[in-house]
Amino acid sequence: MSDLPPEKTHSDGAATAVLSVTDLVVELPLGLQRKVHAVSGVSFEIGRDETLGLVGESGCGKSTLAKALVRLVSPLSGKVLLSGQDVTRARGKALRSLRRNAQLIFQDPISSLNPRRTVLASLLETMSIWSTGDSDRAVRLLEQVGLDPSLVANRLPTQLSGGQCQRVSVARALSLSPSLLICDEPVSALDVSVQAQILNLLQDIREHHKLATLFISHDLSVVRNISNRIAVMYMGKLCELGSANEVYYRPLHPYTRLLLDSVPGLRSAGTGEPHAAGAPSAVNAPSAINPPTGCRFHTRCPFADDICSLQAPPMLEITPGHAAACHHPLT
Amino acid sequence: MTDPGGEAGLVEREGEFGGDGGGGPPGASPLLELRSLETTYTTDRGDLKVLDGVSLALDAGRILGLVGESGSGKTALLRSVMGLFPTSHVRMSGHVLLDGQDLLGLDRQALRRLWGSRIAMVFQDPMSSLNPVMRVGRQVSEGPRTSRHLGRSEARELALATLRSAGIRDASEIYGRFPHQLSGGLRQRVAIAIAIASAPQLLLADEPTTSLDVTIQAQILYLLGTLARQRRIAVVLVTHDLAVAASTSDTIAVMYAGRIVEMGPAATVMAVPRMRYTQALIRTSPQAHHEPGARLEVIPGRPADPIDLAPGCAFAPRCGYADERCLTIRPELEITQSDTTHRFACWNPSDSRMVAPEGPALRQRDDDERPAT
Repeated sequence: MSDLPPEKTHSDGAATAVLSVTDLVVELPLGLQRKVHAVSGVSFEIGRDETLGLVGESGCGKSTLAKALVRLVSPLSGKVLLSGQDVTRARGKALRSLRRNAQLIFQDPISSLNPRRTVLASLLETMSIWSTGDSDRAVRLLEQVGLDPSLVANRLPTQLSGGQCQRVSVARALSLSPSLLICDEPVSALDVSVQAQILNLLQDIREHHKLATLFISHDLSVVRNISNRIAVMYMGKLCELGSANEVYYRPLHPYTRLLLDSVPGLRSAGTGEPHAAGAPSAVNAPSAINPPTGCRFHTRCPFADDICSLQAPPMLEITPGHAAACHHPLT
Repeated sequence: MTDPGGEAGLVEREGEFGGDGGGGPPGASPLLELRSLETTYTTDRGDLKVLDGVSLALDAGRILGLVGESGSGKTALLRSVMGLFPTSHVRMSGHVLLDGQDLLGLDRQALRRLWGSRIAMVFQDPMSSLNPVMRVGRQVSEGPRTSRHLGRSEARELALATLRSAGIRDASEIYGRFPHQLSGGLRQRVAIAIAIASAPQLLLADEPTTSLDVTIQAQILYLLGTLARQRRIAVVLVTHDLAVAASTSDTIAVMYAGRIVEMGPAATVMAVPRMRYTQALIRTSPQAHHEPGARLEVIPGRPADPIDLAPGCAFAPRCGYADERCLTIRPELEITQSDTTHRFACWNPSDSRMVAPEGPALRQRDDDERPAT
């Protein structure tokens, strides 16, 4: 690892955040001229060498947000600055080079690699498009993600385990020396013992390359382990944002509390009582197509009153560095 | 021996749909008992022993959490109990006793009489286990209608009641829907409703919450707990998630390479795991006492390949405590001295409680543990 390619050369001047998202709105078509705001006014920043964890239930807009960051879907409004450059307006060559700067790692490691290409060929393809290296560098990248190049370089993805494939995905993402790494549920498909290996790898990679990382997961314990800060998303909106420990131990938003209470605990074993959080509740999750008025969580919230159904709460910093969008934050 | 079991079971269960008794003759014998169950696939690469002498017992109304990584034999165990394997490529030996009746010798027809009415199964992906072109209500009532010859309106009443006991509040509305019109959580509730519609004694759940959100997962686990307690159904809950098993089960069995390597009351296994693999599994999961950004302990290597097992303990190649004996002689599942309900198969068992992890770290190996630096 002594002869890694030179570190980032972006000179983004004043901006310290690698990624800065302001009031991002993404609208998805539903057919019949109906539309849904999958991401609805989301703002956050990620700095160099920082991991932001993004949690929420399926359908809350996590993955759409990730796609919008690299313009795999086009946002309706708002701003995404990647190393100081506007992703939402970029076109053609400028967009392509911005995309190179933000790399994605997906959930299913096997299907995100080309099944007919060897590991080495997959890496070389990406690298040759951007002329970022040769097979020597590809071999070094494989070593860097903990694979033995002599064993895996000429194998096909189907001949590798899920954990190995995910390592290849990480190597492929690194081959373009991005400044932002977006991981969309990168360990959900892996066995527990392999999951820890990949989480440690991502941690090392982030530290070594000083990457900004957006780590999307539905698993709160995984997110807490790997993130510096955690953002909680509900029906297209962020409802809480703060340091990992703050969000985990002192959640401000009732939705975050519900998520935390739902996590089965290793220590709750043998109490004889099933999850309290699983007890039948009066309402089911509302539909994203027709989100509730006011605070979108008010239909499921035990603390909701009149104002919650009328007025959407703004995202406010309630304790230093810990913000929530709630009329009645937990204290 | 084949025929009466199925029929008798049916008749016997009919009267107790409300669910009081544990079924079967009173006494201490467990509802489900496996004795040295071995299941072998014949493949091109040779014989593949996916279950290697599994023995366990489960009482009515109890939940057994079966934990292990992919390929450890969890699903094979469920399929062996259910009798879902084709006889042409799979050999089975040992005993699968349901209420004292051995299921292994039964032919297809006898098995079909058991399915639904005495044993039922819930699968991981409710979308693919439900019939996409049949309305939910008919799928729920299908089983009871054929096995009990219910009339149309009786079947409807039963289906509605079953949907409600699976936690679906607006059952009459869901009754007429198709699976694709339902959310993932509702689909899994429907799958559970189908499974319990004929009041089985044993419910086999194969990763029932893996594709669901945490909030929905909590609801489904709650439901399984309720069903076990109120209807006295014995549940085998297969999961790769130790926390899910720990929070829901009475007993936990940890599988590795086709064997049960540790088994005991959930609280005991989680607090004082003896077998090194169980201990490693608990330590490798991110937990509350880890600081954010702390490196996770890692189990080096990959889950064992059942076609190429070491002669000793299958976990030995990945274990930091393995010695000569571990590599050569296979440890058996033995009870602990202090606690007869807790069994483990390990030559160098752990003595420490899990609250403050200590002791030598797992063997660190560069190839699997971290990027070479």
